Amino acid sequence: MRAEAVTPASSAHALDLSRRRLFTRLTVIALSSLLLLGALILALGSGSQSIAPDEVIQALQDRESVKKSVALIIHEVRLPRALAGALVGLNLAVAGALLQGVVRSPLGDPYILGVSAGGGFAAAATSLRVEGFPPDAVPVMAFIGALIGALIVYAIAWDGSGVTTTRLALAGVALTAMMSALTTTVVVMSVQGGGQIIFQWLVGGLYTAGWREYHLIVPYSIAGFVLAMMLARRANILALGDEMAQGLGLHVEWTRFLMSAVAAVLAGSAVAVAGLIAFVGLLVPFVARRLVGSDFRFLLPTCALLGAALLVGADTAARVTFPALFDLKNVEFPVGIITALIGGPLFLWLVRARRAQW
Amino acid sequence: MLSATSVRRVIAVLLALTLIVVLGAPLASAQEGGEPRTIVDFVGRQVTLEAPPQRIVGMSASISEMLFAIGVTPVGVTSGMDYPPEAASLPDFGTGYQPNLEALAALEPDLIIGNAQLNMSILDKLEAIAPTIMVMTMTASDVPQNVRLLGQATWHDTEAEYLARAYDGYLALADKLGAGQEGPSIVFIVGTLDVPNYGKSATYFGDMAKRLGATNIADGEADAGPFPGYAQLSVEAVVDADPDFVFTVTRGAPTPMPETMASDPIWSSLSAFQNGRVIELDNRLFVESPGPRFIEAMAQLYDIFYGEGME
Repeated sequence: MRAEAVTPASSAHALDLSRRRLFTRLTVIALSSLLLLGALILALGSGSQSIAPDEVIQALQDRESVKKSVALIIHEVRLPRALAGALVGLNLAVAGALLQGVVRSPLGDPYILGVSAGGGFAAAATSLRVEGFPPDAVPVMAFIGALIGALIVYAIAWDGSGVTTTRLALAGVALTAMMSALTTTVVVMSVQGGGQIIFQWLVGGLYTAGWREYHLIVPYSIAGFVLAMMLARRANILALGDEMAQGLGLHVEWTRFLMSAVAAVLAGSAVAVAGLIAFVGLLVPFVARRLVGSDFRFLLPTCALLGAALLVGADTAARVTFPALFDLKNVEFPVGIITALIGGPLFLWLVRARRAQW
Repeated sequence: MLSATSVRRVIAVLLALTLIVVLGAPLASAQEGGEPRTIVDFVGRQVTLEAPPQRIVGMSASISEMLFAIGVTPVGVTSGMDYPPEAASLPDFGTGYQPNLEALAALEPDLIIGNAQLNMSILDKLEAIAPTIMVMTMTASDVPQNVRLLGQATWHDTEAEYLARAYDGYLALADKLGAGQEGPSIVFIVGTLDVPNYGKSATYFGDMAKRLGATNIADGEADAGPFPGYAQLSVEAVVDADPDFVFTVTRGAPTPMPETMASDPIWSSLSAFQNGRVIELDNRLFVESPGPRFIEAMAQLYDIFYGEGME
């Protein structure tokens, strides 16, 4: 808040403005919810088997009232996949928003920063190389790998006063390349059949997302989002700049660490379920920031909803639209391809625009 | 009051019904089966089947061929399956390693026979659709036991037992035939010349060749590359061994390996190449679909090795 001579008129005007702003923000959040709902409905209604919308609704209301195959497709194939996909999108988008706050750059995307790659390597190494490793513990390992990845990149890009976009991108690229090489090594060492599914995982796909994966990710999504919201005020203060934040009594480095850790929880569990999905954490906060501004209390929920909607929509495109484009039957593409196709150009533009400020 | 004709009619109908029931009983019991069964599959899982499954799918061509062999027509098959010919007209649900789960569910199967090598990572998704049994067929000698397992799971025990015995007998006979032979030395390549995988005697093809007396030059090497039973050899090692036969199955390139070898100075210098003993094999028959047709495959192979029919 800027210190100005407070007159009754100007304060009334400011109140009016902030009220209008609040209204806009809540409207955006409501519309984002609707968008997510629409994406979910579309996902449940489309696939290689055509099921009419009323039959989808009927199947959701009462499993027994529809044909067995329809019930199976809706309840065991499409629904768990759509829900797991929504949570993966939520996790990546919220992680992106948090990381952008940490590094104060729009390039704070878990995929670019090496967070996903670190998590991916940890997940691949434990699930493929450690015999009998409990699948439920894979997200924990992914979280640790993601956190280490984030800290390395951050430490390298940090020059005492802040991180520059270029340094961040370079450090992220280097770490991601290294981690991908290690992940590929692990995969090559372990591929005994099933290679195609591991390939999906490397590009980031939801083919294997079912109820098991949904139940695996849901506690991390809830905990991660709640923790992120609890950090929202601190993140807002951090955004004012280190000196100002310190002046306001914020423990700057500790806040950064907490935000990175929450981002790692979110990104790590997303990676453990869906592999390395590109650019969701870049794309969604970028759009959300333009819609609701940079107040984290509103930015985070908007990112969560839009991220979920984007991934569910992109996955539907990967399952249905893309194969139809190439006239392929019973084949699907990894959703990571779609997000990379949308996010890649944006990333290039951001790097070219050299927007260290946002 | 019933008239005499009506009584006669009722008796006739009753008699007819009795006849149908009596005559149909064995048939019905073969189909109904009565008791639930618990099957122990390849990975040691216990799967209980309440009644004889009526809508069965196999997650690979190998499994589907075994089903056809014991008289079970699956309700759908993996894509590209062309043997037996009727398989081509069945609905397909994508590849065995990444099936389209929706298309699979749409078939409403009541038993899924999965491939333990390819489908373990999606076992929970398959189980959500129908009870799932995992099998694995690496070599011809796995075929009899898997046929028995499939027979048990589909209540086709008798057919399966007959076939399995015939297969066992054939394998014993082939072993005797091969044991007395001074077989050729061979090399077996799957892939392309740039990315070759050298199949050892642990592979389906390698095992059949070994039974018929062949020596595989890759056998001393450790497993390497993405497939179990395959090794990576240097071209020098192949030139050094100069095998009698080079068998190829080209995957991942439009030009078959024998043609590619013609324009390669090293490969074309091999004796096998100059003697016309570089042979591109049928992928399904010799690699991808280990199953009942191992008999046909071994007969062809014996012909190639010894130039006469295996009688």
